[in-house]
Amino acid sequence: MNDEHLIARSISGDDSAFSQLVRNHQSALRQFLRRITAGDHALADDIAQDSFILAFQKLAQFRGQGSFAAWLRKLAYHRFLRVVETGAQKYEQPCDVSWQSLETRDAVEADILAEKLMAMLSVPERLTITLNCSEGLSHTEIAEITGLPLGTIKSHIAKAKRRLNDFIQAEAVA
Amino acid sequence: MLEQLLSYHQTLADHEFVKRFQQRLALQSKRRTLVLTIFGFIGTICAVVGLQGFVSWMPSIHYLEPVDSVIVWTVFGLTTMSLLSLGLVLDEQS
Repeated sequence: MNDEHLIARSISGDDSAFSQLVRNHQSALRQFLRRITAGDHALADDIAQDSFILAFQKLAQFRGQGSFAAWLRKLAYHRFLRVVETGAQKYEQPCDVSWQSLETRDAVEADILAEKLMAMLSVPERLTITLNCSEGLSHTEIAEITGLPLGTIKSHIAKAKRRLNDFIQAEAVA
Repeated sequence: MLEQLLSYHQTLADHEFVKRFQQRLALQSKRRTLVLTIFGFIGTICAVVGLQGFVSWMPSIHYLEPVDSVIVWTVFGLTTMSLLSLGLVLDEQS
């Protein structure tokens, strides 16, 4: 059953339909949050839970403009910003990643490694590069989720790539 | 290499996460029902007392004491119902 049918059934009062929506989207949303929280799995899961609760409460407001996944990310992003405002999340920290681990090809290890690399970036850089390179969204789609201007998004992505590439090259030389 | 690294994904197990979500949702629903029940009960009692006082006051307009208590209880009842509505709105917004 696709998202549209599940959403319609959820709005009409079928809680099991919303639970199925959670099952369908939880992995992608949690991974997105793990990247932007730089590997803080507990915080990422808490924000994901809050986001799904909020989505359940506001489901009637979802008009089908864009995908349900993109709407979830928007809710999660705004919830994450609240956490950042409280200072609970630190960013632009040194990254303890070695050159050997950069050569891994295991999906799980690579995913965890990508999470750690995010610690070097600012919040907007993490967000934009994750949505673009990990989630495969276009700059326009990223602008719809974050509300940032297109030029700013491009600038953040370029800066994030430059910082991460500089780090990778420095590790290779060392 | 960077783009390839960032594109890696793993599938996260859903059972515990979904179970925790369902428990939170059930708890939220119970809490809301409890708050509604308590305030609704208080508001109803106050409104009934206020109305009864008002009805008993009506035939004799020379008694001023019941007027004060009627006004107080009726205002208290209406205030409680208003607070209940406000609580519902704030709960929805949160």
